[in-house]
Amino acid sequence: MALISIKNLSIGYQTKGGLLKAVDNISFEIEQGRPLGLVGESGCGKTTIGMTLMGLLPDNARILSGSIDFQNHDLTQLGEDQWRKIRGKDIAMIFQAAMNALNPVMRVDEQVIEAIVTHKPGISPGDLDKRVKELFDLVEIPRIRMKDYPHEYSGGMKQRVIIAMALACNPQLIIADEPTTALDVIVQDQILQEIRSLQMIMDTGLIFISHDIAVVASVCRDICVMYGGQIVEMGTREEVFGTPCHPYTKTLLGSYLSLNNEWKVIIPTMRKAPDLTLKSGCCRFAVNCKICSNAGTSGIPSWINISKTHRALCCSEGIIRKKK
Amino acid sequence: MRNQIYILGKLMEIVIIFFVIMTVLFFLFRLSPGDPVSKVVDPMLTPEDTQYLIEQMGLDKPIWEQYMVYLKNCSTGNLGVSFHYGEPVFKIIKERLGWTILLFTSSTVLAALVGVFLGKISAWNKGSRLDNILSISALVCYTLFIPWFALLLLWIFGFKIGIFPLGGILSPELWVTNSSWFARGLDILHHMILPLITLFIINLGSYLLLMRSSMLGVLREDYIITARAKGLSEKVIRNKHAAKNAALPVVTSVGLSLAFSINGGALTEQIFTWPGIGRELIFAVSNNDYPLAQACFLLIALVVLLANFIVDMLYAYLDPRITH
Repeated sequence: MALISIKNLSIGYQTKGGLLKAVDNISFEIEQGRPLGLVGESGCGKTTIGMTLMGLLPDNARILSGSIDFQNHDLTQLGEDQWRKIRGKDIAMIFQAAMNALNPVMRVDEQVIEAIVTHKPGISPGDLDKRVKELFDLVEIPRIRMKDYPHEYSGGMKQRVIIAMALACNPQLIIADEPTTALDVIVQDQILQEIRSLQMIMDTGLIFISHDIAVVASVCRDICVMYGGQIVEMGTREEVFGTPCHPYTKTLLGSYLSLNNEWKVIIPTMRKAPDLTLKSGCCRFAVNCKICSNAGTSGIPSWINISKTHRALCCSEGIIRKKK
Repeated sequence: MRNQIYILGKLMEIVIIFFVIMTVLFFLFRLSPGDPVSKVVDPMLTPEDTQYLIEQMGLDKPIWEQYMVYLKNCSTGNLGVSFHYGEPVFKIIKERLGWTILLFTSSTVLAALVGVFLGKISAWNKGSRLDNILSISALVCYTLFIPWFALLLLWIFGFKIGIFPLGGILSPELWVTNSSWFARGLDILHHMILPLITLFIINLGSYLLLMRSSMLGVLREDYIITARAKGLSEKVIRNKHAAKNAALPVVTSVGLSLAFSINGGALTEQIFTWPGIGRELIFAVSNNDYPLAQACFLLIALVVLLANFIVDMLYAYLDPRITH
C-alpha cells in the first residue's frame, strides 16, 4: 500500500490577474522507502506541491480539487489544529539552508530540541538530551558545536542541522525542497549521500524536489517531470532519463550539459512561459511544442502508457511512441 | 578578553568625542552674540569695578588660556557659577537631572513596551480591522504637535476636569509638612501623569510603527516557515521566533530616543513646568546664562554618548551575530 497517494490534485493562487493554476490535476503515489523526485523548471509547481503536503500554503492559495490520502486521512480536509499534529511529526520538510531557514538568535540545539518537544511534551530531560545528541551524531556534527548559533555554521552544517530537525520525530514522509541548491558541489555531494543513507536507514518515504536533474537522479528511484503545473512524464529513474518520451523531458535533458556528448547538445527553444491561467486539462507545453504545433492536435492531452511504470501526458500518441 | 578590549576602546572613543564636543561648545559660546559681562555687570558700577569683574572672570586673558582653564575646570566638575542663580552650575544640574531621568526613562520604557506589544499584534493581524486602527492611531500619535497636545491635555484634565495639577512636581503643602515618603511619591506620580502621557503618546507611535514594519519583514523570513513546519503553535511562532527578532531595531531606537528626549522633551517640560534639564536649557539660553547653557549642552552630549554605548552593549547581548 502506498504511504501517501495524491489524486487529481489542483491548486490555485488567487492573483490580480485571475486564478492562477499552479498545480493542475496531478496524481502520484509514494511508496515507503522509494524516493520520488519532482523535477522541473522554476515555477512549475514543485514547491507548491511540497507546501501542500505540509499544509503550509500561503493565504492566497486554494486547493481546488483532489485528495491526498495519508494514514487514512484526507490531508486536504484537515484543519489547522490537526495539521499541527502532523507537521514535523509524521511529515517533515528539509528546507534550503542557505535561505535563512534557521532562526539567527536561537542556539542550534534549542531549535532541534523545539522540534522534539513540540510533539513529545512529556519527554524527560535525560531522554531529550540523548535524542538531541543522537541526531547530531546522525548528521555528523561534532557535539561541541551543538550550542553554537547558526551564523557560526558553514552552509553544509546548517543543511545538516535542518536535516536533523526534520528527522527529530522519525517522520514517515520527508519532503526535501531543493536541499542542496545553494551549496557548492562537494558539500552538495556530501549532503546527498547523507540524505540517501539516512533515508535507507530509517526507511521513510521521501519526496525530493529539485530542478537539478543530476541531483534527482542520484537520490530518487521514481521520477516525475513537471511542466507548468502538470506532471508530463513519470516512471522509474532509468525509464525517464534513459528513454525520455515527452517532448518537454527531451528538451529538459537536452539542456543538460554533460562531458561526453558536449557537441550533441540540443539547444532547447522555449519561446514562451506556460500560461497558468489556462483552462484545466489543456496541454501547458503546447505553446512551446514544435511537434504539436506542426501536427495541429486537439491540445487536450491524455496519459499514454509506455510500460507498466512509465507514462507520459501528451496530445499525440504518435509522438510518445515514436522511436528515436 | 576581546570583549573587554572592545569596551575599553569604545569608552576611549567616548572620551575623545566628548573632548571634541567640549571644544566645539567652548568656541561656539565665544562666537555667540551677547556679552557675558554685560549680563552680570550692573550698569551702575564704576569702570574700575567692571574691569575688576572682567579680570576675576578671566575674560581679559587670551582665548587659548581661557580654553585651558575651561578644560581644567570641566574635568574637575567645576562648571562655573550660573549668572542667574548665583549658584554652582553643577549643583543646579544635579537637582534637575533626576527629574528629567525619572520622566523620560519611565515614558520611553513604557512606550517601548506597549509599542512593541501593539506593533507585534498589528503586524501579526496584518490587513485586519485591528491592524488598520492601530496603524492609523500610531501615525496620528507620531505626527502630533507636542505643545498643542500637551496644552490640550493640560486644559482638559488640569483645568476643565481638574483631576491633575497644572504643573510642578510636588504640592506645596507636602513640602512644608513632614509627610511620609509614600505620600510624596504618590504626589509626584500624580504630577507626573500628564507629562508622562504626553511623552508616552508621542513615543508610542514611532515604536509601534517600527515594530510593525520590522515584524512584517521577519514574518517573511524562512525561519518562520521552518518554525511552522516543526508544528509549533502560532503563539510560539509569534512570540518566540518572530517578535524576538523583530524587536532588535526597536532597542536601537529606544537608546537613541532616550538621548534625544533630554532636549527634545524641553517643550513638554516647559509646558508642565517640570523642573528638568530641558526646561533649564530653554531658560538658560533665553537669559544668556552661559555657564548653565554650556553645562546643559555638555550633559546632553554625554547622555547621547552613553546611551549609544549602552545600546551597543545591549545589542551584542541580544543578537548573537554581533560580536565585539
